[in-house]
Amino acid sequence: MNAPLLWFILPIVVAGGLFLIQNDKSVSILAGFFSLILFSVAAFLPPDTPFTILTVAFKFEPTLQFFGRVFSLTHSDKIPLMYVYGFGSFWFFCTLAYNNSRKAVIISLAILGIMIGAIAVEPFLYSAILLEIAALIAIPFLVREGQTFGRGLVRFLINQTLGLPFILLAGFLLSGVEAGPDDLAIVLQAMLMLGLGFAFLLSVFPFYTWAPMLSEEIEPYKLAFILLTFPLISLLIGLDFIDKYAWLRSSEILFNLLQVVGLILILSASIWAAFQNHLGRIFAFSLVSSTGYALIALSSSDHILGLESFFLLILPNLVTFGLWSYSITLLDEKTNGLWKEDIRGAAYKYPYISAGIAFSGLTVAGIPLLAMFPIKVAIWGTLAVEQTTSSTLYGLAFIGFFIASARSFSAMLATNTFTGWKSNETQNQKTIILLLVVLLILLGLFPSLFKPSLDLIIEMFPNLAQLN
Amino acid sequence: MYLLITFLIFVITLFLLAVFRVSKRPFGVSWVTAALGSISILVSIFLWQMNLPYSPPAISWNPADVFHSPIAFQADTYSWLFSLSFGGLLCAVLLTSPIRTANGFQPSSWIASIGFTGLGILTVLAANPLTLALGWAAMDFAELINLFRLSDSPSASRSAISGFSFRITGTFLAIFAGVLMIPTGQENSFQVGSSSLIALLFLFSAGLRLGVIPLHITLRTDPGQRRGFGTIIRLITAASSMILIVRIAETTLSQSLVFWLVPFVAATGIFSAWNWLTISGELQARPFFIIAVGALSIGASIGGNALGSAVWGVTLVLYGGISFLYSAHKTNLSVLLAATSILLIGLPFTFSASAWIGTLPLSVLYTPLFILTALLVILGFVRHLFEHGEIDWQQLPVWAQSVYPIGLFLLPSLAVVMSVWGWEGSQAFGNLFVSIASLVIFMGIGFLAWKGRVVLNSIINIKIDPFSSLFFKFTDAIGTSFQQLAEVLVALFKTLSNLLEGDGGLLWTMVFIILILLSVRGS
Repeated sequence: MNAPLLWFILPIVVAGGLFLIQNDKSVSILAGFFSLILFSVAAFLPPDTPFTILTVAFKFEPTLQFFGRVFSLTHSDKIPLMYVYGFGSFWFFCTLAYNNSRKAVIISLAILGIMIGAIAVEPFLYSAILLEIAALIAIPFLVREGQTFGRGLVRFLINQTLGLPFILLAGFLLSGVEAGPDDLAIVLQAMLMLGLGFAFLLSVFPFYTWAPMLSEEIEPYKLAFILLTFPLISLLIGLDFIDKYAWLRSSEILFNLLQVVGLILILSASIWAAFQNHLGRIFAFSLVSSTGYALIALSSSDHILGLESFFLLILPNLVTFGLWSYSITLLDEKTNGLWKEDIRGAAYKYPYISAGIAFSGLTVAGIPLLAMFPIKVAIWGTLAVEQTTSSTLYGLAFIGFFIASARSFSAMLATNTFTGWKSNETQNQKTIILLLVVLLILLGLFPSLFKPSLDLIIEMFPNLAQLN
Repeated sequence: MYLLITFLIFVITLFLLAVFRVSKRPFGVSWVTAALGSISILVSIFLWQMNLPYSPPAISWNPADVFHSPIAFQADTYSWLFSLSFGGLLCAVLLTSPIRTANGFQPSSWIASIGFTGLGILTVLAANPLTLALGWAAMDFAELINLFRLSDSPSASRSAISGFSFRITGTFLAIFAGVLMIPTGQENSFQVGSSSLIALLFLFSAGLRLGVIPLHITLRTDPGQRRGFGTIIRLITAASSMILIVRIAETTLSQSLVFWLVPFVAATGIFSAWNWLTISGELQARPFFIIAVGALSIGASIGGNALGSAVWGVTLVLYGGISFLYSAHKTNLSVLLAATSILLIGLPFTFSASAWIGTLPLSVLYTPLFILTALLVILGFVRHLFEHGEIDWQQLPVWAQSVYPIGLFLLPSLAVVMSVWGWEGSQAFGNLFVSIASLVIFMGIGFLAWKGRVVLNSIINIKIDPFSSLFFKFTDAIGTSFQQLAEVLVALFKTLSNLLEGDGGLLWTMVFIILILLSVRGS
């Protein structure tokens, strides 16, 4: 058996097969279980690792030739495989609660496969092409049933597409850098191209304007899918890149730049979020900020510490935004809109959904006891040791997100017709929200729960780790 | 070891009460279990003294190089004082609960009281800002959920959010201070060192949570369940904020800062203490009592008197407990309880003697203001004892008439116990000037009350709505201005968003990129 075939090609084939099934719920369940199987295989039988089943020795071969390109998934890719398909499984099961989710589930399963392809492809330049393909495939998924193309969607496509030529140009220049690493002009040009390419792919400030625009056009759970997968995969590709090129990983400017870009991203997103009157837009700004936190984590001068912090951020992010998107999508369906006026008094009619939104908002704001608190404070501490000014700016972002959270919850509590608290959610919805809130608290108290081992992280980025 | 025993009793009591609740055992069984559990907790806390100071092993988050601080606890004189008063309050609440049966027996409220007290004790045991922040957040969430459960109007729910926001902002300041301590290597303690900024952040953190700095009251109408569990929540939350003030008391604040800070704190203290004295009904006046005692605690802390600050924290819990749990009034009982207030005026060898040992800047000017605050607090306490009670004493069953005073007198008894077996040097002589001054004024007022009952009655009959005062009109106006400012900012950001998200958005994006690149290049 071949690893890229299993984790890259098979999901796309299965997604195609799911088109034959018309029932929404069956599609969600099948996709959920399929992702769960891929997650479990990645966890227990990772690629390129020999194992024995009933005395039969077996191994997932790491490479696959496809259209003349090499796709390679080795043991070091265990973590991204687990994250991608673990998140996929969770997300597909959550779609059981939504109406008309069939198309979204099918397309997103295919996107997950392509994302893994983007991680596996060599040379890296083709990653950008695969990400562009994923963005194109996402288009039908990002149009609301019965509606046409929105401006946010066009902006999303423009931004993803603009990233592609910059990455391709960077690849072209990189061959020059390898030939003459002392040529500072080429190094700078290559860095600039690469920086701009990844700025578009990661949706850093000011390239994230499509996110709040899109949040007004589509269901929040779709936006969460896009903003949790695209930047994460782009970051992993970017890290792989830094790990491969000595001139890049030894550049002090690069890590300073990561910190500045990350700080601008979280600050701008938090300030914008604080003064929004649309729950979806607050959600979108919070989502884009997660990339900023990741960039700040990675900017640490102690690279192992930076990588560990980066990986410790991923699970709380997935759970927090999973809960938020689940709750906000349900609220969107019930209130027919997420503007301040639409959600007035929603807390009394849907207390569990509102609690889900409040808890996830507070988690993003870094409130103690909740999932993101330990790691956000840890990153803050590292920043304080290295840069006092940056650490103060970093602290301001907490306030912005807290204001956003308090304002949105206040809006849900404001009403002229108070008739007491009465839950109108189904038992399943209540159970899922409660379980996710408990998970948020558990991660807040035990942040190392499900943390990938340091050995695996070092195996993924050996050169970067060695730099310490 | 003793710490472990205390928390083991907490867990066992909570478990038994939960089992009794599920198996629908008679309320009497639950009450006896809760009361016995709370008494055992109190006794076990008292035993901590045999092994002080004590630090149980810290719980580290892995990897240790990423997470700078562990979750750590320390039992020392200060945390013991607070814990003992929390234990006493819990006992008092449970022993007096049989008289609060207007809505039937409420075992769920007993479970909540025990759980919340446990949380409060864990919080005051915090050995570093991280642990303290976690404890505060847990208490704030518990309080918010409780307030939502009881809220009967949208405005009540929204003021719960507003109170939560103030406290979380306070918590955030403590976390910020903790983060700033990391480069100094002191993040695992409250050792502020020479950093005035960190001390200031801590002071504002506790001040914001208490409502003292700046003076604010978010919960003007305190919904239901106000005596039993409500008292536990209010007093323990406030006292657990005071532990931070105590911890930083030995820090030297910059003189210019103190120069500006002390007048504000003193004014806040007098204003709140006056309201505590004049507002009819102790529950209506409760927020002012907390702020006034909070101001006294901060005053002591600024004067470098950690023990004094702790004494005010304990006073808040013990005497607040008496005042807010005393709902079935009886004249003899009121007189006896009023007599216990003599313990608060700073007489030598009483537990409050330590409250006046510190040295405030411009002591001649400010010490009298703090003495006046303390006296107003004491007078308010006495006044509320003599108001009409909510429950008719005669209607109480005989057994409740016996248990109820025990619960109430347990609190001042603890004040006596603390002054006898409290801490090294607990039988302090204190500040003679303050003792004499307080005693003279106290006796004078007592004489007036005795000879001229008219004076006392005229004070008792004062009906003031503090929220219609000029000060609260001013703060309301500030609140409205902030709302208007928020609306302006919303409009501003809407315009900016339209600019970036409109047809020319991509061009504006490029402009931003160029500006950022230029500024990065420049730096």
